[in-house]
Amino acid sequence: MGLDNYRRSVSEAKQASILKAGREIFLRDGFSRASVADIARSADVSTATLYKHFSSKEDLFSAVVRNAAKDLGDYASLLTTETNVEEIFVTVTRAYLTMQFERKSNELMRILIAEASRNPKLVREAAEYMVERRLKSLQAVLETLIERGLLRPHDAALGARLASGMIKELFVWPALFDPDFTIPADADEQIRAAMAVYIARYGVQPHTGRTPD
Amino acid sequence: MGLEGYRRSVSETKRASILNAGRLHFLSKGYNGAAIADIAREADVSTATLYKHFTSKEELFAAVVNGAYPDDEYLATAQQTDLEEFMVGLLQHYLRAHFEGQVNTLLRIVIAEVPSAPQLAQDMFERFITLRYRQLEQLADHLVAQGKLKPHDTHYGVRLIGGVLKEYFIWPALFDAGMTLPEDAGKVVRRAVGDYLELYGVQQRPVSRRKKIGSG
Repeated sequence: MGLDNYRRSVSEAKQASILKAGREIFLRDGFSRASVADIARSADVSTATLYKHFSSKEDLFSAVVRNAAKDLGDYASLLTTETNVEEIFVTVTRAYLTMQFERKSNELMRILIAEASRNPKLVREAAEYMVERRLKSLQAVLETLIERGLLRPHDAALGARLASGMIKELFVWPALFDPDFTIPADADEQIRAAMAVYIARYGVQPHTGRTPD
Repeated sequence: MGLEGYRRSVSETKRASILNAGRLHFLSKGYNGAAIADIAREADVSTATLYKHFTSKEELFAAVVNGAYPDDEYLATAQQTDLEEFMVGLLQHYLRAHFEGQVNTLLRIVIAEVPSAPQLAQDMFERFITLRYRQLEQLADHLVAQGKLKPHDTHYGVRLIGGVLKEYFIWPALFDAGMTLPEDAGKVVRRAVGDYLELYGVQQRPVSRRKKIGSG
């Protein structure tokens, strides 16, 4: 490997270790109390090197948030040839919950909420990434399912909020208030029950014995 | 008024001014940042008097949240009016408390301090959020029993409507301290209620009206 490649790989390794240290320290101390010097020390780089990679503490925090969402915020990629809507919903919801719990998005959201009045710009941008983008991605999935004839035509923007609203009520809202809350053992059952409500409303199979208008 | 009445009224005035001062300090400084001594000073009472009314900081905070939270009297009007209008009114009543009554700000404070005051957050969750859902489930069960809603699993039914309104209004407000209730909130509420009643309402639209056979 040439010198340039070597330099690039060292630089990437440093960036990764800054991100990792940043994540740990933000999760431990929150945004305001976290110190850039601590993060640099924990990543084993100088603060000058840290600032070469991330122009500010805000910038580093945003990168941590984007990293948590990496490859999990895009649900369209989860669509296969599966035609059972309930199974599709379970797959998408599982991806959502993995990001939320395994990647500690509940903790990151709490940090953002704590920071909302002090640091509105940072919080708005991160919330766009963690909340809005995922809603739009879910909306796109619903639109595809409508196109494929697996759901009745309906307003997918409202639909996305109905579906994700219920999932958040069941798993995310309680976790925001309780750091020890984990995904319950009967999560799949609860997901299916919640999604059954959605399918009852917008699925193609008549469920009430009443034909839609 | 007799001596007893006088004492009671002084005591009530003090309690109200402690609550008011507590609200101000919690809203501006957060839960951990607010000091009981400062609150007592602001309310012009001794800390001993404060503790006579509220046994702990958490009790005082809970009382502040309780004062801001929408009262449940509205639930009692369920029988008096058209179901759709009742639901729209109830949900708007909740939204007003969240925005004008600053419940959103109090929620942000509780959530922000989960790492340092986990017990407070869990108590608040139980006392306010879980309790409200329980009341709504009971109400929905009651409406089912009266034949005003179709039989359904009300646990998920109330979370359908609660979840969608939180998506539109409460989640964004948690991340945006300056957010006010959007002007078209009423329209969104009406659409969400329409969706809910489409699923669980018993009144059918004229086009699809038909005799029910052995339902429920």
